[in-house]
Amino acid sequence: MRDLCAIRTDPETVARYVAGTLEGDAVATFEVHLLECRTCEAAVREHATVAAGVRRTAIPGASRPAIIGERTRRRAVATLLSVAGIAAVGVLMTRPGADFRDLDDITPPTFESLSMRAGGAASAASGMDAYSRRDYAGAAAQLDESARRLPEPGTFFFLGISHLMLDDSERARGALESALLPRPNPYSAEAHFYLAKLFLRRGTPDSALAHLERIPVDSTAISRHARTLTDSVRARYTP
Amino acid sequence: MPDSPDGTVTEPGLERDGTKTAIAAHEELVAMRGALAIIATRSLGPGPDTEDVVQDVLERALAALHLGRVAEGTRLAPFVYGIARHVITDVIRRRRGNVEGIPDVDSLETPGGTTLDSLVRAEEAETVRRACASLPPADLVLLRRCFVAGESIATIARSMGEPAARLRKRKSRALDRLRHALGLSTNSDT
Repeated sequence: MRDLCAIRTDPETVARYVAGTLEGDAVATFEVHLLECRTCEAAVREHATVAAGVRRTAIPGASRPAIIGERTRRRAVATLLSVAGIAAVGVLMTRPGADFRDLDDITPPTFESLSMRAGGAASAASGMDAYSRRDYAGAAAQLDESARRLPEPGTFFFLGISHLMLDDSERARGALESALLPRPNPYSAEAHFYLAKLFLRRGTPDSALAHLERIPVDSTAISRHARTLTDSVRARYTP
Repeated sequence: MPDSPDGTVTEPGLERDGTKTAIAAHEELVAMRGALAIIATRSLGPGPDTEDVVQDVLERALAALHLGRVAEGTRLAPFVYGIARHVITDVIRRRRGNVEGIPDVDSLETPGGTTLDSLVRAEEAETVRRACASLPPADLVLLRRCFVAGESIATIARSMGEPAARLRKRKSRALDRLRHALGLSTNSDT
């Protein structure tokens, strides 16, 4: 057992591991270290606890990272209208009676190599490099170009996620719906899941539920997440 | 790392120099249980499979120790990690109906960074949530970007146009408040 822990001095490695954004060989290196370092094991548990608590906390009047724009503007307009004495219009512009703020949080899926998931699409590599760097504008531009030349569901999927992170819900919807074809493909379940998130963000839970219902019920993580999200939406909203 | 017929993974050279001191190796293995649970949960999500993986890995590693496959002085962690990846991959393949040709499907298993939530007790998360509610919104945004999105302070500082040192200080202060709420000693290095 090692007494000194070099990784602990770089707490961002722990944070990225917990957030699911640590990539490639760094994951294996960290996990081998984790097996022999109780300090880092405790740090991972502490980070997971903080992350779980923070994720459950609504942020009053603040935007989320890279998720600003349409919804924030809609709320701002609604607030202004309320102040102006036409609150009913404001309510109509926000949500149909239920609040999904803690359910529509979107964390982009991690990516290691497109070829691992789609068996090709090397032309999308530069777009995926941008995606991995969280340069969603760069990723969207390059993946859009790639999708025109090589229309694969994987390319459309990450293009949709990139647009989602840029809060461009119309383009995100188009790309994610394209990722559903041909049916089924390795991305269909996840595409339905993120389309559900997109519709929750828009405040249209019926559409969100319709997508969640199309995710096969099995033992995969995406299926479990879909069931949990479905239960949470139904607990607040009756179609 | 080549797989042996019984499913264990043997690193080249592990069998050369006799057996690792049995008791020390056994203790080291047992101490890895918590980390193995983290690794399995992160790859597979919460559920009965995860506990099965932990048990399976420990059993295979113990068997390898008893069979003298781990030489004295060999780092046990890489050896155990090799077994863990092997067992986890088997579970993923089984879940996908024995689909071959998917070298690594971990990324498909994790739609977000929530898979480790199952390691957190609900009351702890609720305590953190309550403590978070008392933080200024800007600090909450910062914590969300660090802990939920996994962004580095340098990245956040660039995007916000603020000095990284100031953000580190804010993050550290916010974490100290959360630790205080959780009854932990304050520590500014996270």
